[in-house]
Amino acid sequence: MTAILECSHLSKTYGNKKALKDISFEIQAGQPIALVGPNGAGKSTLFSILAGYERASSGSAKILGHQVGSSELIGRIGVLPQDALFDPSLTLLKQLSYLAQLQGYGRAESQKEALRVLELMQLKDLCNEKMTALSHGMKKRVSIAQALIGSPELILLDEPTAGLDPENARNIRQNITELSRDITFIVSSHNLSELERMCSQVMHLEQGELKALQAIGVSSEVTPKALDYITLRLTQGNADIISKIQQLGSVESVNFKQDDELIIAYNKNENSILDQDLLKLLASETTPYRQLIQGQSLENQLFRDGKK
Amino acid sequence: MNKNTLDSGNQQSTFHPFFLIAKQELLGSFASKGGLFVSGVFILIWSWLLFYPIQFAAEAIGNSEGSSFVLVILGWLGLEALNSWALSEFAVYWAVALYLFPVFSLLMSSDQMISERKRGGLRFLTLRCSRGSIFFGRFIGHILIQACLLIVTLGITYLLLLANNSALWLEGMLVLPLLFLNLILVISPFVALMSLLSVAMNSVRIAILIAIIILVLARVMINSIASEFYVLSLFNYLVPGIQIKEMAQLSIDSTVSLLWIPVLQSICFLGLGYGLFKRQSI
Repeated sequence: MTAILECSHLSKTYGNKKALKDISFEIQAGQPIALVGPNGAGKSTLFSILAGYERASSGSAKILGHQVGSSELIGRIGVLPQDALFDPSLTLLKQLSYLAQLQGYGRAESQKEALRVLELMQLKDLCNEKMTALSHGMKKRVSIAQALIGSPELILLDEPTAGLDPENARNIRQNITELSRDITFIVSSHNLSELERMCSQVMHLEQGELKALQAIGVSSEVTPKALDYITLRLTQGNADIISKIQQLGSVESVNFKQDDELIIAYNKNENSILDQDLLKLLASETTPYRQLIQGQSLENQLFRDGKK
Repeated sequence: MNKNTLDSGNQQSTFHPFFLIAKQELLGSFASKGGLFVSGVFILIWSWLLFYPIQFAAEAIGNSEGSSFVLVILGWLGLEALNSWALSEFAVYWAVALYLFPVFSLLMSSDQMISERKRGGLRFLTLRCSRGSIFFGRFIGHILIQACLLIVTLGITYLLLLANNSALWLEGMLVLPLLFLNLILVISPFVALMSLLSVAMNSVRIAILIAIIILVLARVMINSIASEFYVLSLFNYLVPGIQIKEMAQLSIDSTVSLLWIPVLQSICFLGLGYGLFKRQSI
């Protein structure tokens, strides 16, 4: 199976600053992938190299088996670039149909395609407005719409929901989830709970280095026993409950992440219904809870024990 | 995703991206408010030039009493050859256009990419077409803009000729393509220079400033260096407009022999500009 994205010893240097340090990874087509990391970690630089906006200082990157920036990739990848603005003098429809025409659509088809992607972003009614008449959030949605033109096989979205209201952010998440049947998305965001809902894998960059590429909710820790996790969010902190949970069969450890959040590590082979036992315990102790999640939250997975 | 929609993507556009880019540049220049304003100012200036100074000079050349005065002026400017033109309107138009069109074209084509690169708009294009299509499409777009303006001014001059002497309609008609060809090739290195500077510079004003410095100071510098190393005087051929003075002194059918200079200059600037753009971070 050919990897949809393949990076080998990729590095990027700006003057004395190394934005990416010898990154190597491979991604198969499939479920959306989260790209996370603090500001300045190299996420946008990685996207810029993959989109062909910048050249890597060393190493190579291939998308669908072709070197990034090669003409074979034209129309096969979509990108939401950070902070890129459209021509203010054109209407949304003209802007997007022009891009569709460049991608190979005929004149009439390009208009249909522009309207289709605008509808996905719930902007069809504004198709004859110019960019200057739109709010920041609307502009962001138009940028996402352009990434969806045609039938790209890979779409890179750099902070797609930053600056959007909750309703539109949810709409975009739904669209990504729905479209991910045909398209592989790589989504960069600082909103970990959002990524957790959309993505099945996470790629963690920090100071230009690839810290992890792993499935969300599954531990990357190498332990003698393969442990599973349950995250329990209580309505309010309750230290007494810990000792009682530890007494449940198969529980290896219980850690407080925040006052009201417990990470329970257990051996699933010994007890596959720990979640039900937990619910019974909470009921008997009349301890109210907010959420019980199979696995760890992405935040806990990435920043375990303050290690990262 | 809707399968029908995916299939519709296979409907190929009838235009190559290169032509779409050029067409967009052309439409953008004339359809936008800013473009209309610049075009309006251009036509206003040319209308004034055509109906006053050019009309006056043309009448004076054609008139035995006025010709001596005009000849003196032409002599000062080194343009005595214009007096030999049978079509005095086109003779004066030629002299004015040779100097004014390059300046207009330089100013009008100064922002082929700078603003768009700064706002990130190029990032939407490079995913859909090659950098070559963008770079050369923009150049051709600006050449087409200049071609449209040339056609308008040549048309007005032709009407002026007919109004003054309708018997010369055929001679006028025959000289139009020659004038167009000469002028469009004279303009091309100026547009190509701005294509190069649009890639190399981050500000339109600085790009214009650098262009002016190249046009004004480059020859002085090359000549002073060439006084020591004569072979370096060949670099003069890279300064846009170096042949204009000589062209103004020739009859229109003799100027073709000098057209290799602007063609060579355009190729050099475009080659350099494309080489830079291909590697540029956007």
